[in-house]
Amino acid sequence: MPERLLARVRERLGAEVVVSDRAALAVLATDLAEGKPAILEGAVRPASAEAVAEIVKIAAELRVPLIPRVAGTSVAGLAAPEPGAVVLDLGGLDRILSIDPVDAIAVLEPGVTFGAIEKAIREQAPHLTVSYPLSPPEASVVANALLDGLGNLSLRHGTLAEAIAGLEIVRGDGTLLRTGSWALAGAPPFARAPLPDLTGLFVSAQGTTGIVTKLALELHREPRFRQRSFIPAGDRRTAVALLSELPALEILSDLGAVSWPLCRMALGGDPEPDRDAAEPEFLVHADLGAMDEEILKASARVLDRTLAGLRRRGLSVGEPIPVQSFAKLLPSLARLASFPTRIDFLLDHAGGGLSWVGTYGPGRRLGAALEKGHAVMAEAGAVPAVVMRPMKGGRFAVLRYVHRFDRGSDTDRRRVRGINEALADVLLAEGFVMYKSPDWAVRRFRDRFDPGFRRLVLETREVLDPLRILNPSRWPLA
Amino acid sequence: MPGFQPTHAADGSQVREESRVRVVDPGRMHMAGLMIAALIERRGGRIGRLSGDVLIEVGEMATLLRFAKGGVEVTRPGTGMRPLARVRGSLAAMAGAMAGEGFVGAALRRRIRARGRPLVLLRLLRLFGGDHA
Repeated sequence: MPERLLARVRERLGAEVVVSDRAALAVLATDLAEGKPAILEGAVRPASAEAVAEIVKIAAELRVPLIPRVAGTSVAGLAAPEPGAVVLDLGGLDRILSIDPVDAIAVLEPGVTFGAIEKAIREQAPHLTVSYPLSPPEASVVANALLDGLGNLSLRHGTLAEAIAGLEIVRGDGTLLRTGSWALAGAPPFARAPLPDLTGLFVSAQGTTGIVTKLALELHREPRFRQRSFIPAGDRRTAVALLSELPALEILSDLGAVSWPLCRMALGGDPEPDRDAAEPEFLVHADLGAMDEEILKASARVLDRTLAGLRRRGLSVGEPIPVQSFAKLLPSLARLASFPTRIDFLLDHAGGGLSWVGTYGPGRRLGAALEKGHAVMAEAGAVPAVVMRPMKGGRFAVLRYVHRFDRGSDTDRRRVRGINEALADVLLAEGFVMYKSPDWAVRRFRDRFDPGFRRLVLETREVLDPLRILNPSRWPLA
Repeated sequence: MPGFQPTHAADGSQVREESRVRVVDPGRMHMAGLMIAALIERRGGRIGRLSGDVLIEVGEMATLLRFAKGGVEVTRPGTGMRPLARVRGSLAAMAGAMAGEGFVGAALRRRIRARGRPLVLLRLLRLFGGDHA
């Protein structure tokens, strides 16, 4: 059946829309995560919303599943193709349709990368910025927002999905709709309010309810003065205390922590599970940002005073190190000072695999979840490569365990999946829920979802994609 | 001590530069040791005639640098070592000194402490003392 779809697309939209280049197909078949190697039976690359709608209509007619994909940088296996399906590569829809410098809204197609939006904002509205994730510049802004991803402004603004002001979507029958204020003709996409808010039906749905072809994104003011520092935290308790207590100061624009194995990887090391007892267990990064230099200086004094107070309480808080010092010492570390950033140290290794268990959970239980996660890693003999962040003023937190592994080894893939399952179990016990949920995790916790929630998700899919052609394997709640 | 590849041929022409830095047991080396190794790798041309053992203590992380023949082995200190020089400071102080503040200024402000043979300390200053040292 994929062949028939490809033939029809070729006939109706032109041969250039069907991906036939072997190298391009090979890229679309690849995935970083630990799932089995993907089988790619075909791919199409439209360049407009109308072409996407036409392809969806053909797919519905022929009952061929479509797997939406943009950059393929997700590490949760979300872009992995499946037998009998065709990959819908949205990378060709890569226009920044508008940037409103006054209302601070950008309208983007799904192929717009963080690298492209950074350049456009710098040229057209340098007083604004977007929340950049710890992802390469090739990552898609729209995909990250739709998947509830996080970014460097998440401390203040929550997930990137909270910055969505409206969507344009192709439903499973090939029809288009808009959500947010621009659902009313004549109104621009300034907010999700005040109409019935349907945007959430498409957030974290992984393309199962529709294919998003345009997204209106709130931009944020870029502080004119910044100071980024790394604060060594001698142990886990200290790192958690910093992440729990510093948000209350309301002077930070970004705050997060990375554990010692990630620090070593960034320095070119390939760490073994044992930590050197003398080494800080975490480096906490803290960004001060202000529109006025005096406010920045005052904020720096407040931060220093607070850190001194934490030391007096017996916590192992080191002296802050300005990121510029790191960057001057080793240019390779300059990536820590600017966004979008390169995470080549995670991707460029002999095995080539990268996987994670990324969770959002209650901030007050971060310490308990971290202890349980570390116990799982220790039992598995794995390095505890961890990223943590407070979100939205510290109301909730991110806890993410990352693994590099050998994609060529079935044994290693199974080992990583086993660790991920054990991590997901213990973290959920502390209230931490996986984001960008891979289908294995949804299956694992299927019976723990609220029955009413499950039923409504399935009914929503039934309404928006009655023929189940949109990424049908994702969110297996049935 | 391993042999290091020469950076110049007998006629003075430059040959392909192999790493002058070898980290012993890199999987267990702490981040300060890895950072020092990466920094020396970048500034390798400044090793010059440095030779002998030097102890660098960054916070609680101790690293022994064994200089010889234009290269260096980065390792953990063992018992019975007799370094020719010792430099000690917090991670922030060492990073600041190496990134441009300079060792002399940092030492005068007592942010770092250095002791040992003056000639070795001078050569270390050249190697670590910022890009304009």
